[in-house]
Amino acid sequence: MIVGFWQQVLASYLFAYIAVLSIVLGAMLQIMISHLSGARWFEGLRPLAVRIVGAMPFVAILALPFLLGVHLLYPWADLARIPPDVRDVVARKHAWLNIPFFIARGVAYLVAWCVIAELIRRRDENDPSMRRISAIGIIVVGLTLTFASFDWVMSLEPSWYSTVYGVYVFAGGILASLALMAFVTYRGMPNRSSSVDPNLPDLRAPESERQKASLGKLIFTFAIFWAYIWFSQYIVIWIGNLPSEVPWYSSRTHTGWVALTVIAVLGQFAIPFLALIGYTAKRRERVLALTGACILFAHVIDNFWLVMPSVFPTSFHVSWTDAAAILLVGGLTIYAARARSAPRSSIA
Amino acid sequence: MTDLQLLMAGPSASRLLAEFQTPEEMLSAIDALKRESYHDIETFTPYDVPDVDPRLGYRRPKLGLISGIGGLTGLILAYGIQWWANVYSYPVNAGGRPAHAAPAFILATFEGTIVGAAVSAFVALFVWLRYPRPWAPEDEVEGFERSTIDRFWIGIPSFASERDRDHAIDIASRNGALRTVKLGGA
Repeated sequence: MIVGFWQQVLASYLFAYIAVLSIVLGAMLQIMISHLSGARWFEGLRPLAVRIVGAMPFVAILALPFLLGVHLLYPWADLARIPPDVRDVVARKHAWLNIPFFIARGVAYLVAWCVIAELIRRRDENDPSMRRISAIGIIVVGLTLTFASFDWVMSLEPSWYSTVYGVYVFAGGILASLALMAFVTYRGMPNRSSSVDPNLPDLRAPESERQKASLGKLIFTFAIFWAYIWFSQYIVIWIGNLPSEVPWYSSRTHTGWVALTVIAVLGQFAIPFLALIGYTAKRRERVLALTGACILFAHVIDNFWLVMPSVFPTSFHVSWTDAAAILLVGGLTIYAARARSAPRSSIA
Repeated sequence: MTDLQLLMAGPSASRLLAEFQTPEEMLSAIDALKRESYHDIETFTPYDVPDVDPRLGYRRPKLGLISGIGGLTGLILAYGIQWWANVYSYPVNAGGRPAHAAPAFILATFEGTIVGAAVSAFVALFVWLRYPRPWAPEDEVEGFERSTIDRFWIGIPSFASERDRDHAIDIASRNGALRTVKLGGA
């Protein structure tokens, strides 16, 4: 299969976009979960999470390239590109997988996320309406994120499907958003006040000790949850051993791509699990910052692993466009989050 | 000295209990007692009051280590049994899958780890605390059962003299004790 230049560019862009988007949505889910469960330990982290969520409208605009390039990126948009043995199966999915409906759904997801993000951003944590917004928002985001991951990533291989796919994407997103918060808060020299911003609560102060431990425990828990979902999908397909399902994994475990499988599982499960299992480790700023960095790196690799083997199934392939895309999307999103959280006077 | 001996022993060995309405009052009484060099203070609280541990010099228990070793044992046993049965003792060709089917073994290995860790923690806790202990002298005190509901109790197992004990009663009362109870002795 010859992959055109634009397909390569769009695939690189899609991988970077999903890696960043899942973090923003992960932070959004965290905030809503904290309102629904009445979690007091999240109060200190909330302002940081809200800043991440603040980038959502900008991230929505960043979806334009691959929504406009559907016909170049997705094989189902042109049945002639589908291998003849599965062409029938894909043709039967036409009612769902067609360009106008795909774009309309995409716009609907993005609008829903922007509305919820802005509702969260414009209310403070004690606002009584936050509970209702969270109750509805968590259902909306849960469903839209699931369908977005089906549409945008899973449909790169339109004859293959996995029902747990959406959970996999948001498990990774929540884990990575916690890792980002840990990294941003505890990077730099230990035992100095948070370098992020004087307006944020000081999470390095001695009275934040319990909050620190909670963050450590939560990262530990979600690393296990992510691995649990990873394995759930793998074991079902491995043991079923069906010709329609197995190729997705065989291109990821029996080619050069296997290296990324190992990195993703080590970086998002094995290393955080061993690093954070101890009582004192969860309370050590250095451990939290380094584990956070490790998970973020593995999260990027994991999303690369989700997208790229679908485009290049036979052998490992990396291009300069991959690095360019993650720098572009990541950089612009960080810029947007920072600009939107800065006081008005400093932007003008 | 057993609890019964404690109960029967003379005034110098009698035990003192004090009841408090709030954890804060209990903590301030503990601080005051410690300033006057009383040791071996125990607490009976309806829930975990984290500030108690550093005051009474409790170190972190080694339960995690025991549970970890138990978990590891469960892991090795569960994987070992599956390997022994499927690879060595009675290999079966199931749809061409390898006899040593590591992905399929992981499920039961995971369960084995959990069982090993949970059971070892449970047993270790019972041995450590000498459970089951259906009766203790404190149970004879009217209202002591509220230490599992909404009251905070402290206990001092023994005193050098009666004057020492009366002084402790005084300290407890000044720090807000609702009442003090002498167990055993005069």
